[in-house]
Amino acid sequence: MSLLYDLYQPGDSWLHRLDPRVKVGLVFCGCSLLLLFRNVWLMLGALACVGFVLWSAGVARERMAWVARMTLPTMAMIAVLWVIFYRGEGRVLFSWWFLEVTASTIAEGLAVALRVGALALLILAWLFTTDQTTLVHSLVALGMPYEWGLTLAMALRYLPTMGNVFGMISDAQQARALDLTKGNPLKRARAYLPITVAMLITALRTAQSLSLALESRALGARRKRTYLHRLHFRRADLLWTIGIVLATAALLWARLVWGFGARPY
Amino acid sequence: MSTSPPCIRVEELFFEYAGDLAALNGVDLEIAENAYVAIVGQNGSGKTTLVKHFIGLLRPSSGRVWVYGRETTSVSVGELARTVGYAFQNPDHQIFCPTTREELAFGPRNLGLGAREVAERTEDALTAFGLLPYADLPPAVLGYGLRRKISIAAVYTMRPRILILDEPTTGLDGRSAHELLALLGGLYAQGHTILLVTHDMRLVAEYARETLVMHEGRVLAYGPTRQVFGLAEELSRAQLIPPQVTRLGEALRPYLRETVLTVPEFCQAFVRAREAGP
Repeated sequence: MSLLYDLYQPGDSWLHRLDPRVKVGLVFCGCSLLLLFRNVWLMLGALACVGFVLWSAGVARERMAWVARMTLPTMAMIAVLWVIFYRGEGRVLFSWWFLEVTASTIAEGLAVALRVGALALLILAWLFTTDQTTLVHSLVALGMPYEWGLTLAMALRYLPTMGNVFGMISDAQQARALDLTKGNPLKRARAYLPITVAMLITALRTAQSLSLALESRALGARRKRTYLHRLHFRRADLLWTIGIVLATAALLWARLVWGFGARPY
Repeated sequence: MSTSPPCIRVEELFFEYAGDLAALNGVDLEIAENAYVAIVGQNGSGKTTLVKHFIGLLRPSSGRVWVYGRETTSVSVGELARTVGYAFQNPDHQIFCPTTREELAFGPRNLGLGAREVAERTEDALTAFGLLPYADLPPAVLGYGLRRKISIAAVYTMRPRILILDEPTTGLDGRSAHELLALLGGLYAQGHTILLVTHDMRLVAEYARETLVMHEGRVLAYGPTRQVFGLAEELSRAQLIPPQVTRLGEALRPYLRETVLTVPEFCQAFVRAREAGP
């Protein structure tokens, strides 16, 4: 199955064993902190930390390579565009036409790129080590209405199906001499219309039959429901929760009270 | 088997899906022009994978496929669609137009035919498939059987010399199925090559002149349907069960002395055997 459809990699690492609710907390706190700081060295440290987390979670080398292929070009593009379009403070190192490059511009561009990379890696570490069902369970356990959780689970479950359907529809329309390769970009985009419409019809038909099937199996018949699988909060999870809360509080204090990590470099 | 020159030639064809899942394991095959072939086999035996190579939707991992002498890797799917029509199993993978008429006209328009030619072909298909009452209705809201007919009619309008149908009678009632097969019989009589991918052994017995048995990505048997239906061991290996009347005929083989495919054939063979005596 393509990595795009299901990111989960089965395993028994410390991150796999961690309660999924704690992982949600870790990702939430981590993302918030990453958005709060803007220092390039801190961002570099954060990226290295998250990279270490991924490595210690036993994420396969091919997946790491896939992550690198996905994130590095984006990070490079962000850094370059930031330098081109953002006018920073301080002494100008280089100027040409509208371009004025300062040390802070470069540092901020790098910090933003590293932040994006760290955010992506953090979220991927969560998705690589939490299967879709557990992920939805954790969100429901944290207060998300069950119907929303089920909708999310089904959306994730149907991603590969819809990907497959897209391939089939594309084949079917090409077998009717639809050419998706010729012409200018606008013409090529229009050539995808038959595929898009057929895809929509199929998706609506699937959604309708699925909703009827769910209703016929008594979804929503009672407000209270029981669960086959329950999440178990262990002592290690408690220690992790305390650690995450303390670390987040300390970093928030340092950033908001002392101004730690507020400067680009 | 037909003695006409081959319209499809396959040489040492291997194909693997992503993830090293081998679907075809060395297929060598020649299908003569104006053949009527049923391709049968278990799910996952490689039937659909094989026919997708004939229209260029799949490219061989190794080996070669020629359609009317042109290697499929050297032409686009759109170009091959002029010669090879492929009706997919699920009609919803094709249907997208606001009316049935437009749906049928989509293929011929892609082929660059003139307005008059497109209109003629569309009207012809609407009549032939009994779709005139639904011509101006959106096909997506019609019942499954009608959508199936429309998807096949949409390929029929392209007038391909080779017509491939994947499970053509699924979802059709008995009458519609027989109407469709009679129509295919008419196209066969006009010189078209018909390839049916199917699990319906009764349909195969009644209509297909030749049968190709696929098993684990290989051709297990290929020949006239009567001959193939007599290969009990091969059919059993491919987990295919011939129609009841054929099995009854095989059980009475010492008496009947021939393979029968249909009930009328059984009756005739029975009469002949009775007249011939012990």
